[in-house]
Amino acid sequence: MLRADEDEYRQFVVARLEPLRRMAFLLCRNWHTADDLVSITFGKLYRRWGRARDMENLDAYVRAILTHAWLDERRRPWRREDATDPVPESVAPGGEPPDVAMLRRLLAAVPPRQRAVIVLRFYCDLSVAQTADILGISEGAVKSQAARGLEALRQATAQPVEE
Amino acid sequence: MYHDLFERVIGDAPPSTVDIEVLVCGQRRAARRRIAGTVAAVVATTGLLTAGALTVGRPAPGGHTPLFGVPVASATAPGVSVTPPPTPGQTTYPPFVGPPVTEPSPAARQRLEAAMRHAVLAVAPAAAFRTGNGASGFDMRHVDQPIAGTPPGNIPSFTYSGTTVVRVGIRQGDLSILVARAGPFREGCGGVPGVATCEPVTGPRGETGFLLSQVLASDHREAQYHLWLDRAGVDAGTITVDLMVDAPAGGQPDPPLTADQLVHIAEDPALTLYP
Repeated sequence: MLRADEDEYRQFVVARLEPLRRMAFLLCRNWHTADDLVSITFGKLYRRWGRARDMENLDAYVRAILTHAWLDERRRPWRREDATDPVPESVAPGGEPPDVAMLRRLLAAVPPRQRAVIVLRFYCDLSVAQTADILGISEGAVKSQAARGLEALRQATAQPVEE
Repeated sequence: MYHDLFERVIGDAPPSTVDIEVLVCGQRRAARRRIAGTVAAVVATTGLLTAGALTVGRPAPGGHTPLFGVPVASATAPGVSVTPPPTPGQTTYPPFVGPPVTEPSPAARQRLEAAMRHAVLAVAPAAAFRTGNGASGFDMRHVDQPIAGTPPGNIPSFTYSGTTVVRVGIRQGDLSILVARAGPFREGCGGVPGVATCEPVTGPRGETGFLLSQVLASDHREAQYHLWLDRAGVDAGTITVDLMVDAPAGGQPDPPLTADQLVHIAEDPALTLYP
């Protein structure tokens, strides 16, 4: 990669580091793994920078790399986690607000791909079509997988929501 | 709409352990390893880069020149005779000068990986190795397939290569060692861009070759040292040793191994396809 391209790449990833870490944390719920996923994402982006830099929606592309990196990692035997594990209780003094606790429980309880749908749809504010495109599934599948998350979010915030 | 709620679930993020500079350097090294591995394997087995087919006959004067020691005035090393490159499609074959290699590939990989570690430790006892997977040793590959574009006759490429990050004290570099079957071709410094030095090398058993150093970046912050040793008269093999080094910020490349050490590694008799 040319120095100028590398500088451009460096500027991009420095600006996206924290937002991507936070997205990765929502997916994996572990800061160490989140950092690993972001590193994998940036490494892949480096190798594809020549083509990626001119993409119309580079941020969506990077989110897609991150999401697939996490789904790939989840397939590794030593990374597998049981989605039915009991949810750890908060140890924060005085507990945490009910809406935060509810969302935390939701993220812990759903399987990986559904968790990805929830994060992409409701944290990254992507459309159904964009979410479906990133995950390589139909829009109908996105809607059905987001339904439970949507219901939980409605209960948590007690606000009417348009899908 | 729910962004704030998600942000509260995330809470305060700890400091990131992602170091962008380390990541960029790692990706640079990986890219160079991929390129160097591919090019070196092809060079070692087909001689495609014999832009100036080189016959090396001059003994190395009193030991070996330090890396980056002697600038080359031209693309051809002094003291060598240059013959025209072979006409494409008319190269004389058979391609290999030795008998077929009969050792099974898994056994050869294991044996050569141990031999590579031993060869480096023999000249640098404090050396430590780390592969791309984090293992301590060399990442071994084996190429044994026809090269596209060669004349009929199943001209195979036959190479075992080992790559690792070698560290000696505070110095480190990307080390590749290739053990290939020898053919009628010769490598040379001609046509190689960025060559800083090119010196002929003669081993104690009559091996011949050359050692070149090469600047890979315009700011001189990346350097490659390439040693090619033809052992056709010894064990029907060729050895290629590549060492790539990044310079620290504000400094110049400081390789973990010297030129003499690279030559001694290449001369190690255990690095052979015919144990």
